[in-house]
Amino acid sequence: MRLEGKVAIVSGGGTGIGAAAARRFAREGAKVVVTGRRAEPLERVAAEIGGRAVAGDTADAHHLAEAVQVAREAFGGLDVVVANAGLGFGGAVADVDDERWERTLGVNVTGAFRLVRAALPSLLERGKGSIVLVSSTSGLVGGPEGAAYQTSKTAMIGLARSIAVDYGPKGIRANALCPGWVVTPMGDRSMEGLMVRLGVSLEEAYRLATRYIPLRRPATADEMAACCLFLASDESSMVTGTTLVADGGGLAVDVAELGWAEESP
Amino acid sequence: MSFDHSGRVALITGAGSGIGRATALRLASEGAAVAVVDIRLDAAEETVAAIAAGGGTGVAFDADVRDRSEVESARDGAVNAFGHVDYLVNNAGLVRMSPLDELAEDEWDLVLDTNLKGTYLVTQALAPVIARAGRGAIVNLATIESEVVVASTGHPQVHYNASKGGVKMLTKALAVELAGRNIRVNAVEPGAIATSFIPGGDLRSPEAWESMKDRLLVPRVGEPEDVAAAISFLLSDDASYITGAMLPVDGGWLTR
Repeated sequence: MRLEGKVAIVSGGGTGIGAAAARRFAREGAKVVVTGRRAEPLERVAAEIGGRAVAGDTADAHHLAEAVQVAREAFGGLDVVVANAGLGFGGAVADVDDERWERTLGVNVTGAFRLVRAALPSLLERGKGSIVLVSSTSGLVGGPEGAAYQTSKTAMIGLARSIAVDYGPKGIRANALCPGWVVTPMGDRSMEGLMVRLGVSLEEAYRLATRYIPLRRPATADEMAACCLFLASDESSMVTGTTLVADGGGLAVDVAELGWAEESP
Repeated sequence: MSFDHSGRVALITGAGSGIGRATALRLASEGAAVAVVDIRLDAAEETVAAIAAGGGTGVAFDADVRDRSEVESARDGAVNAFGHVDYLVNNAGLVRMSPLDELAEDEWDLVLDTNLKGTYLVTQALAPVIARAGRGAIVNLATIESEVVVASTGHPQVHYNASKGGVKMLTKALAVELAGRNIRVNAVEPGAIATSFIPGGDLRSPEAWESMKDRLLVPRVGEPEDVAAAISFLLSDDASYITGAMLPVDGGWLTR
C-alpha cells in the first residue's frame, strides 16, 4: 500500500487518466476526492472507491476551494494533488478564437494553478506533499494544429518547476507527467478526425496515430495512473521539478508525430 | 514491498556497492532473483549474503564490464542459475577527475570503456536473453552530469561527462531498437547521492550538507535507496509505457 493514510485530490477524476488514478490511489490506501465538470461520472468513481465527489468547473476558484475543504473535513487533510483536468481544441493560431484560447488556458493552466494555490496551505500543514501536473508530450515538442493545447501543456511544466523551486524546501514536491497518446474519452475525440477522413475504426485510428512510436500502441489510462502513483508516493521523494515522459518512446525518435502529421489535412 | 517482481530475474552490474547494491537488495526484497555482478567477487558475495539474510535469492559473479568474455560468463552463469533474465541494470561505473591538460589517454579510456562501452557490451550480451523471456526492461545509470557540467565542485572531468552524456543517448537509441523485442530501456539520473562513488567525502556530513543545501529542493541528500526505488519503478510493469526516458533522482538539482 504505497499511499497508506494519504489524502489526494484528483481533478478531472470522472473519466480517463483521472478516474484511473483515483482508483489506483484508493487501492494503494489513499482517500481520494475527485473533481470534475460532470457530477454523474464523478459520483460513480467516488462511490466505487469510498471517496468524495465535488462537481464544478475547474476554472472556478470557489469550486477548487470546496474540493480542498471536502478533503480536510472528510479525510482530515491533504497530501497529494493531481492536477489532471484538461481539455483541448484543435487549431493553428489563426484558427483559434479568443473563447477557445481562453477556455483552454483557463482550464488547463489557470485551473491547475488555482487548484495548487488552494491546496498549498493544507499540504504545508503536513510539512510534506506531492503535486502531479498532468501535462503532455505536447508540452515538450510541437505538433500540427494544437496552438492552445500545446501552449497550455508547456505552461504546466513551467508551473511544476516553479512550485518545486519555491516550495521544495518546505517539503512539497512537484512534477509534470508527460503522456503521449492515451486511450481515454479525450483521446477518442482526438481520433475523430482520422476516423472520418480515412473511414477507419477508433481502434485503427489509434493504431495509425501510434505506428511510428517505438512501443507501437497508445497507453492505457491505467498505465498513466501508475506513473501518477510513483510521483505521488514516497518512492519518488528525491524526484522533483522534473518531467516524467511516459510516451512509449515517442520522444526518443524524431518521427513521433509523423503518423499523426501524415494523416492531417 | 512496493513493486512486485516475483518470478523475475535481474542482472545488476556494479552491485557490490552503492546504488547497485541497494538496487539488488530492493529487487530481491520485491521478489526478484538477482545476479549480482561486480568487478570484485568479494563485494558481490557480500551483497548476496545481505540478500540471503533478508530471505531473498541472489548469486554472485565477478566480471569487468569492459571485457566481453567476462560479461558473457556472468550472463551464462545467471541463465544457468535462474533459467532466464528479465531485467538488466547497467550500474557499473566510475569517475576520475583530471583537467584536460593532464588527462592521460589511459584514463579517458578507462572512464569511457567502463561507463559507456561497458553499458553497450553488457546490453548486447543480455538483450537476446531478455528477448527470449518474452519481455523485459533495462535501466542504465546516467547522471545529472549527463545533462549539465557540475563545475561548482572544481573537479574537471570531461571524460566522465562525455561518458555519461553517451549513456543518455545510448539509452534512447537502445529504447528505439529494442522496443520491437519488447524490451524497454530507460535511465535514471542521480544527483547528490551519498555513496562512496564520489571521492572526497561523506555527503551526509554537516559540511557537505552546508555546501549542497542551496542546490537541492528537498531537505536531504539522496541515498542509494532513492535511486533503487526509481530503478525498481522503471523495471516494473507500472512503467510499461515508459521507454527511452531519463528520470532524474536529484532532489530537483536540474530544475534550476
